[in-house]
Amino acid sequence: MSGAPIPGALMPDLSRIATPTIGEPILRIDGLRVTFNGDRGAVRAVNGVELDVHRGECLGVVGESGSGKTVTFLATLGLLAPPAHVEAETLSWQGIDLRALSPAAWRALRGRDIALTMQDALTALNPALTIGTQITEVLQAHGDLPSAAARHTRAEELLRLVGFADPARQLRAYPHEQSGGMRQRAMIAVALACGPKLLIADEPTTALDVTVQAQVLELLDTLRAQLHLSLVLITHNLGVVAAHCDRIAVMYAGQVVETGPTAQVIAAPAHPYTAGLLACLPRLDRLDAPLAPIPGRVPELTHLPPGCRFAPRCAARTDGCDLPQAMRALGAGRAARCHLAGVA
Amino acid sequence: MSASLTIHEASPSALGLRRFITDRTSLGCVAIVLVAGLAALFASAIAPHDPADADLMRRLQPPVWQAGGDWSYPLGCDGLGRDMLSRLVFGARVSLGVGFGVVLVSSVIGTLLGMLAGFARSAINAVLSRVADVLLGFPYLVFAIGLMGMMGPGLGNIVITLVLKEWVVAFRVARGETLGAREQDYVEAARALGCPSWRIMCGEILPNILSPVLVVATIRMAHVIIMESSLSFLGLGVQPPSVSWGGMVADGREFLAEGWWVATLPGLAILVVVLAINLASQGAREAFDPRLHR
Amino acid sequence: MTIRVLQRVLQLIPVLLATIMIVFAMTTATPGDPIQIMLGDQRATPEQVAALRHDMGLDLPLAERFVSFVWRALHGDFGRSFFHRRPVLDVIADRLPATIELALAATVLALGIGIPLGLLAGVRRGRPTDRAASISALVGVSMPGFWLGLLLMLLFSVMLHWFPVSGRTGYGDEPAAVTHLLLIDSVLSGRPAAFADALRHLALPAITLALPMAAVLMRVTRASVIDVLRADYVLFARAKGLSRRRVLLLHVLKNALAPAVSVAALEIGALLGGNMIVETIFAWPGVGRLVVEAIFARNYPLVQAVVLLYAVVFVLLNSLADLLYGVLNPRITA
Repeated sequence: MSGAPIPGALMPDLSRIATPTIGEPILRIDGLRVTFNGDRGAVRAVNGVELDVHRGECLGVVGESGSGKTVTFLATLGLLAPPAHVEAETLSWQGIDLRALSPAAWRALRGRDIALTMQDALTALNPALTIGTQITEVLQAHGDLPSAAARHTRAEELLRLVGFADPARQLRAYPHEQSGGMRQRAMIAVALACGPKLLIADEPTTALDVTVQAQVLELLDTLRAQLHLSLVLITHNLGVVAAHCDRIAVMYAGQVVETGPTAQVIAAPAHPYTAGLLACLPRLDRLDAPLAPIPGRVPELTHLPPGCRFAPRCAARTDGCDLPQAMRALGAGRAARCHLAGVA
Repeated sequence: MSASLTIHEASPSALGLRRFITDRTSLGCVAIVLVAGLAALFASAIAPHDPADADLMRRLQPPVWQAGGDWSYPLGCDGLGRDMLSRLVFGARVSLGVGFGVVLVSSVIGTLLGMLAGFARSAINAVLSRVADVLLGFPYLVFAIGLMGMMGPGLGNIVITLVLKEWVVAFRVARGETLGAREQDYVEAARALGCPSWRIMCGEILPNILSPVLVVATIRMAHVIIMESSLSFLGLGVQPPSVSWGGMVADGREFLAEGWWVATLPGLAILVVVLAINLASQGAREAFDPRLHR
Repeated sequence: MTIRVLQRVLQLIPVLLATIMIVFAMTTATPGDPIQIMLGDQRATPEQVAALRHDMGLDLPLAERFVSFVWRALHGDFGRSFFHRRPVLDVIADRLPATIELALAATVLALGIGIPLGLLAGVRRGRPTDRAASISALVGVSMPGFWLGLLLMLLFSVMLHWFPVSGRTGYGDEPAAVTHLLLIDSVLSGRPAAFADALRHLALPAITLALPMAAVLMRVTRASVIDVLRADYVLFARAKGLSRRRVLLLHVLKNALAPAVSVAALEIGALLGGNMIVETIFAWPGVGRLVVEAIFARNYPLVQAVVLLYAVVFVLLNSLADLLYGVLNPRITA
């Protein structure tokens, strides 16, 4: 599929995105495998993921549910426990090998260097604790501010930063007393408490109303600029990635199938799955054009095809697709897991 | 987590049954309860002696494995020289009989009233539910001891007392299930076709609430057995010459120092039977409830 | 919160009335003429019988008897104990401190054993610690309380002589009564020997009463810990870099505790009944033993009063637990 840049659209204006000023990689993942050992044998939810996150960039990770996006980053934070088993060839943060980290060192890293926000703030925030407690305890855990009063002041600052007009009151509130958008902001405030360098935002808008979605994404953009954050935006919404991310990584059935600068990938997807995802998006310039859903279903992780995992659903399938596919570098920071990519 | 771990499986109830019968613990427990039940049924055939046959010559004769014991009285004799084994066998009759009987009667009454309340949803429902709530808010043993204290001891009074408290359990299960079943399409359809209420209750609703009521009844049997033995222990239960395990423990209290077996063995019998019922019902729940197998 | 408390108090009124009604209904279950039964073999003149009958309100029609019963119960008037020749309430009041001390000790013990063990087992689900704890708990709930008491007595008193067989104190002179709880009074009057003595007497009855309750609490806590551990907020708490200790003791436990509290309140019911048995076994001079004695002495007014007292305490404690539940789980209060 060859695509001209998509103008207009529910898809956003691409010209708004500055040319990515990509710094050096701070988070490096290579050959990451996550296996869940269940009663009925092992299920490999993530199989050989390679991803780099660079300083100051916003990386969009796109994929359907079950593609392994969330599991990949939970593994990166050392948050998976048995029955999950994590292996990696490289897993490093600013040159530190995370695979060799002690539990204490993991705890020091989480929340301080790399922070996470989860899909639904209603379930991610503890219902029995006030917002204030949930912010100050991060500061306390990382020993940033020894005095309770200082932590309280900092918590107020954080709530103001994420857009609350009445931080003092919100500190005393319980999550169920807030609206969906407020909770999402509060959760972001918790994540940012210790000034992390990397924020992993897992589906930050999925649980929200459409009007609030835009506000939260805007907030993330602002915070990123203000705090020099690197941001990983995990989403199944390609439109969100196109509007907010410098680079994109597309995941399918536990693997990354395509990476590259957002503008180029969207203009000319190299993997048929990416192309298929784009074809599912409604476009304002061609309202009469039918949406083209990808035929078939995501394969179950217990019954994966031997070669390319997308092959059974792929329109461009050839004989070579029966063999396992490796990532092929395509130049200009792009790569795709398809033997046809860059050939024709 | 977004990992999809769906796995296709065979029919859940068949799988559950297979899990249950391959679970040795559960099977063993079912066997224990069956053995105790058979002993209770055929007590007169099994017991080597008359449980009431006292002989002070045999007073506190120890069990066979202790010095002074012999095989004609394998578990020794109590303070009046009565054979412990025979008394245990006959005691099973009262303990299991009351346990089974009370649960059976309560389940029948509770189920009928529960269906009535759930189906009528009118004043009957309001009144019955209120009565159930108040009874439930009364501590079980306090209720039983108080009422037995007023009515006086005896097998009949025990059964009446325990049923008065116990029917509430089946009532709540049956009422809840009936309220749920009432909304089902097949019941709506039967009503639309003009079936009389009693036929809908017996034909459509009863078969559907039977299995939850049965499951609860099994577990409750363990509880009723403990209640009966507690009352008998206090002397509020069956009266001599009838034998009950709780009463036997009470008999053994005064011989704690000289004959440990008199109080210990009947208590052990209660523990083993109750534990077996609890373990088996836990095994059944785990085997049949797919949610526990994630 | 104040409104919630008021609501709760208002809800209590019909429940308490119904409870009184049940106790009244029980008294009508006495077979035959209660006066004759109470008098037993004692000779009494017809005048005495009539006076007693009048005193107990038995000469009135049923409805009137009920109203007068409720009215007197509300005023704490349960008649006179024929046996003790004193008002029933005074007799109960004398025995109450011993029962309160035993019940408090048992509750503290049960909470102290059941909840930590449940947390531990839930966190180590499926591992040997969990299995051992779960099996012990199952044995605990299957064990008849009276038998447990006798076993403990056999082992620790009869065979090992570690604890006294029965009673509440070995001394003739008790420490100055301030709270009437021997453990506290002995500390207040600075008498360590009396404290140790009270503790030794208290140990076995309290353990007997506590273990079955601890077993139930352990099972509930374990199940709700397992549930809570699956929650997103636990993952999020870990992602914040909190220590394992803080995640478990604050984030997990605070949420897991709410169901445990409501079960604990229900278990108080078992504790009240068990108390009658345990006090009988260990000759503990409390209300539980008093009622069992009263039953055999056919002292019906006393039985009535104690049963009502226990039922009311149970209702009140459950309401209290409801309020506590709201504190642990702020969503309810909203």
